[in-house]
Amino acid sequence: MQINEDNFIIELKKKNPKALEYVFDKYCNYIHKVVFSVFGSEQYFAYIDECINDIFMCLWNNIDKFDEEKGSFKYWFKAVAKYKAINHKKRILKDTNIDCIEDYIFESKEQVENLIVSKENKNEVIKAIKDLNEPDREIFIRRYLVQEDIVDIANCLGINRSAVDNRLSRGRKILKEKLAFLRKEGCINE
Amino acid sequence: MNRDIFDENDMLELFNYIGIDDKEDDDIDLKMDDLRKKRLKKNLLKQIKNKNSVKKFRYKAAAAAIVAVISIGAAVPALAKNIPVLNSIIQALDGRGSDYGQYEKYSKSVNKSVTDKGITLTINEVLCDDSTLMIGYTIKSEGNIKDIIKTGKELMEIQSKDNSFAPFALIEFMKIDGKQADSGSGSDGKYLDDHTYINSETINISNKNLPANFNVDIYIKKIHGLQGNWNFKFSVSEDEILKNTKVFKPNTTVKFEDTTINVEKVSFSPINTSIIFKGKYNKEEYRDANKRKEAFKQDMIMGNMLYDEWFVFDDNGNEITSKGSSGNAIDNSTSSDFYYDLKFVSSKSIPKYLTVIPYRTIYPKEGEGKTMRPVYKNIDGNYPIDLSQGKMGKLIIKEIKTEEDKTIVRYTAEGEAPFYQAELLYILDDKDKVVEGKDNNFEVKKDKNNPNDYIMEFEPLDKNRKYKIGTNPGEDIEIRNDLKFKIDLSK
Repeated sequence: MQINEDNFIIELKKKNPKALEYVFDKYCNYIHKVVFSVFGSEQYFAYIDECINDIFMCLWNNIDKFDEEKGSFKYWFKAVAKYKAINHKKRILKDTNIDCIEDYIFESKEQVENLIVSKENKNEVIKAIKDLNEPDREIFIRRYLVQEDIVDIANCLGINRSAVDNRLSRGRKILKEKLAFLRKEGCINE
Repeated sequence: MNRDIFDENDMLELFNYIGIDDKEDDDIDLKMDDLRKKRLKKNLLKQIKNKNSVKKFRYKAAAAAIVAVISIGAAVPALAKNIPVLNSIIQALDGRGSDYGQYEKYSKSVNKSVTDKGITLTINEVLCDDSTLMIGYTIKSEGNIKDIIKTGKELMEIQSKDNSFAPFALIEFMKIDGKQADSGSGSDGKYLDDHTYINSETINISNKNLPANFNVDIYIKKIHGLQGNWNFKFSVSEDEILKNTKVFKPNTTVKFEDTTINVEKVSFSPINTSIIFKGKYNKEEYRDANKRKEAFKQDMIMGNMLYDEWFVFDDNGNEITSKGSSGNAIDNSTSSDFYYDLKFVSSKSIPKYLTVIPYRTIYPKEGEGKTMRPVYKNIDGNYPIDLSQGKMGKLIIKEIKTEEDKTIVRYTAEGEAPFYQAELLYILDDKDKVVEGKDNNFEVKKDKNNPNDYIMEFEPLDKNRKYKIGTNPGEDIEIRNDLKFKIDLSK
């Protein structure tokens, strides 16, 4: 069977190795770029390859999560790649014991934006995120789940950094309100 | 926000909402060189191949390639003549050899037929216990059934040309209690005549937390190349078989090099013996298969642990033959990293304990696949014939006797795992065709009078022809007798 643009997702879902081959041929440069831009240097050459491998494996195992109705494959896959790459990078930095200034920045930011949700309420939180308006929802997901840098998000949306901050804080506020009933029960702390 | 609460699944689902492309990418003109691409791609495809065979629908024939091809190729005529009246497809196809499963007794008849495009598909019967669902079905065609459904060699040939080709399987179209069926196994069906084909399929349901009664929907959209609609809905009850299922929670802990496992559940149903265990890696980093590969110097790691294949014996030392296994990683758990569900044939009686000898399959390195091919010696009437199995040991053929309806080979096995070694026995005729087992069955029996001797029965050999007998010359498994352990079931 010929794998093409129209059937590769269906075939991937059917676990057809040829579909993976197709996606790899088509997207490997794209994914490589995404990963490279996260790592920022060829110094991590070996890790980049490992990471790319991991990304395609993740695609293979989780293609069911991609919803054709909602999103574009390219953007979804890119988010997956970024998320994986950022995770990989963090792990490597941790492993190699190099203090990276970025990590500290990450941490401090996290403290400011702390919103602690307990596992039990996960589904409510997910639902609340899904209910956010665009582009707040996208910004929210990019920032907190993919863990993209605020500056990057701002650049990509063509707005300035403070606008992203505003939207994020608005998102948090909405989420908090929606989940207020949970907070009463002590499940959510700010 | 502490995103740790979300598992990967949640994230991947939420990523669907990302719809804005960054322009930044286009600034960097970065391309991977072809060599690197090629290497990555090769690795990737290798991994999914491994993964596929463990998790996805497993096509039995591919497993023990050489042996399987042979047995399937030879199976068709033998079976057809052995079922004069077909009471139970499942019994006929699965209840063979040393499998004592009472398939027929517990089968529930469904007998629903749907006809479309001149093809009638009938779900004849279902059977299930707490871990598996078996379905027997028939396909009838107006024209030659062999044009619609392929088996045996033909399937292999199609598969070798087109590796995305998958044999027809119900599981692809099946929902169990609304959820897509995800793992199971099947093997070649049989042609009963020019228009009729039967087969059975086993679906793993142990990971589904099903109620005792559940619904099965099968919406078949195509049978091999033929598009159509064959839709079925029926419900299945586990009640009766559960009454006759004995469950133990032995809580046996065993430490391996890579992981420590806990045997949580052993159950004996009239159709299966199943062992469910969970494992936790001895080092956090072993969660990464690549790290394990490095740590244990393996080229390829198939499962979640090194020795995930087990020989299991009852308290009389009789082997309870494996039917297959499924396993997967457990995410978001601090107590365990993966689980396994090993399936064996049903046991004649409930033993007081089980003895387990772990082993693993050694996969040939690329380009070394040929070493596994059996080596044969001529049968010339002089015995014993020694057949070397490399480091593993050897088979000694003591006698080959042809009776009216069968040829009996009497032999012993010396080495690390006699029971396993004994299975590796083949006879070829002068045209290099494999002689099929008696009743389509390459079962190893123990000689009642000489407990150390094995017997394998074949279709009768022709006195006027020359035959060769052989075994695999190298070891393809690593047996860890030193890791042998017991699962106590007396409590």
